[in-house]
Amino acid sequence: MEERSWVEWFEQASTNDWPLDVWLILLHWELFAMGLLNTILLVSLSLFFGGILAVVLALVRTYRLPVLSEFVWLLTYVERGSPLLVQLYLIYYGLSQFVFVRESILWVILGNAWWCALIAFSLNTAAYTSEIIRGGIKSIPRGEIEAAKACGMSVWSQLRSVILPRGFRYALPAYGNEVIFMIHSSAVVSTITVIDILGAGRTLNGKYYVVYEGFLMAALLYIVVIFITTKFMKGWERRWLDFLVR
Amino acid sequence: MSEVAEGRVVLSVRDVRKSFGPLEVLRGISLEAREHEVVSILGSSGSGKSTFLRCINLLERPTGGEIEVDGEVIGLRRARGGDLEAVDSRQLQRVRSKLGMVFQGFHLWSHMDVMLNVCEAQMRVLKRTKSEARERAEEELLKVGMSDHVKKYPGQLSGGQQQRVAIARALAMDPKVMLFDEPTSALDPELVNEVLKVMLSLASDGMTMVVVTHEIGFAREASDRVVFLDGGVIAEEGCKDILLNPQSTRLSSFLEMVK
Amino acid sequence: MEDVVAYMPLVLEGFWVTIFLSVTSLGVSVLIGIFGALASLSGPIFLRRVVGVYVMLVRGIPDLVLMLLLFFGGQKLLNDVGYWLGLWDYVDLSKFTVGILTIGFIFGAYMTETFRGGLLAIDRGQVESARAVGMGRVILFRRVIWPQLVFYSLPSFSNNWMVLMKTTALVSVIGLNDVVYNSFVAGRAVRDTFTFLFVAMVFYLILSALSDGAFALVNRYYCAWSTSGERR
Repeated sequence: MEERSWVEWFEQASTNDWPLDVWLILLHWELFAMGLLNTILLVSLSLFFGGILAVVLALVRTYRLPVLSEFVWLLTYVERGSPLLVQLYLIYYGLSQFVFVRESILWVILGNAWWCALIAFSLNTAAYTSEIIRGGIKSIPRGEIEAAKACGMSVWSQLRSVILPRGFRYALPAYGNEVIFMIHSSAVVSTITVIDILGAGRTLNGKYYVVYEGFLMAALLYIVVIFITTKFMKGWERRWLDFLVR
Repeated sequence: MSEVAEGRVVLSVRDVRKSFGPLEVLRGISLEAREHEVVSILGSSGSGKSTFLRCINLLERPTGGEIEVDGEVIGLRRARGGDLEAVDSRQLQRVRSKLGMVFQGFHLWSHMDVMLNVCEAQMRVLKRTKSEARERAEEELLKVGMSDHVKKYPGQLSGGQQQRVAIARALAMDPKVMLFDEPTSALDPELVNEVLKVMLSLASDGMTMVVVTHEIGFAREASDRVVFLDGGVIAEEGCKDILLNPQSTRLSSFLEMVK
Repeated sequence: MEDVVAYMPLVLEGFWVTIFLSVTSLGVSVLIGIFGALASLSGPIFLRRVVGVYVMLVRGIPDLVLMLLLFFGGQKLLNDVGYWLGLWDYVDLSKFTVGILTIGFIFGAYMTETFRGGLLAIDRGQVESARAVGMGRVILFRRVIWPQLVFYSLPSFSNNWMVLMKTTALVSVIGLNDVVYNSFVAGRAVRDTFTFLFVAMVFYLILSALSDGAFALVNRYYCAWSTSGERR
């Protein structure tokens, strides 16, 4: 959370003559490199774990398993119905107030901002991605699933051969959007002391009482990351034919 | 097309009933198919012929009846909705693999090319190796005349071509009985023949076939037995002569309509 | 427990701020969206490029970064400009204004895409046949274009609203007294951040549910005539 000292350095910064101190940014390339690394690491791991969880959640809902299905519905609703920021705060700040949490083994994880972020992001992307996968599975022509059943395929084989490959293929464009949103959302970790790209920018700003340099550099880095990611995803979309044929 | 009248019974369906809520679509249908026999099932729309065929491999759950394939009875129990379901899913899979099914809508897997479509089930269900599956696939694709199209995807094929691949896919599983659910109904008229030709050669090769169809010509040419379904019961059955000399009024009026 | 009750009014204030912020930002984003969509479809080439760059920027920069940039950067820019022009020394940029402008700016880009898609999806033939019959432009818009525009844009529009409503939580980072900020402050004061944050979360969940319901109603009213869609 921001504190009122920002007001103070405004007056400092306002007297700065140079429009943009590029040299300052370059001097601190390591800071931004660490920020970049943290963002990429956090986003990739969240997508990975969240993705696996998403498949499980999607299958639970698709096959309407009793009890579990309702639970997944609730989880999905909560994750998608509230801001990621609030979820993050709840896990990081909220849980830490409980003594039983602080004194348990879990504190190693829950006391650490980075891990809290990973948990919050993974859950969030799992919820959104499971909906995307469900949508993909719904789009599969029923006949192809019936043909698989008629050949004598077990549920597992049906999933492996027909349902998951087709479902993923339909879901890919929507998932590409989700990846971009994940990168966007990742910036909020800077509010709980993690030095990601935005965190690096804010650190620079705070240390040298500047404004443009930190944020603009951060914005630039994000643009580059998202641009590269978008190209990558588009390439994937084009290759899905090869990707699915074993 | 075959002479053996005393062959082994490979498919025995007894007193199959099916209701959709209050509507009783199948009212106790029994059917037997012996080895190498070709049985044609005819009937007007709504007579339940497709539903009946789909009950045989439990794609539809019958409300009553017994199904025996190659001497093995499918264990059934009453499920929550009132219909019967398979007790042992492994047994169901095993039995289904002995029944090859060809659908009206072909239903090839559109994310796989032709070769993979024919190999996939072999590898997953029959646990054949890739090379074994390919060999079998090539044999069947040759039979249906689609050997030149192995690398193509279903979306690139015409309806007739897709259906022939679907037949090859079912044949590659070495089924005891082939079930055909109106295989030519979704095809443009000029494509119907290529599929019928394949089916006729299958019949002359001695495959046991149960065919639900509108094509009276095929029934007349290839069937050992013809079954006419009307209003959920078998209105008439016999050898293919009944198509020329219908015994019941229902069959004769049906034949009049489709002429 | 009494403390919790004592701080509720503060949290409630936050509720209203969030709601007001969301609705006004929505309005701004819709205005930008309409303009952007029209510009990119039938405007001069340079305008189309501008819209293209605009959308690309918003896609490529996280909302929080834009917000911080516009708030602190905008503040500084205003000060610098004032300094250089000798007009003013220090201008206070209202957090509320920045919040509305930022969120409106961001979602203006998404709304541009929404309306663009909606306009493109309208069947040209129907417009032509209406013209051929002699329909005037106003009637044409009201009875032919508008209903179809709503139908095709609705899913995307409702999606944008849901995301916008949640994005408003970011204004808490620049210190605006929305529901998240106030809940956090209250929680800190009472040493019970969990409860208050939980309340904030429930607030958003209720808002989501209400929005879902509202859109379902609009869907039924406006889109009942469609032949496509799930009728199973």
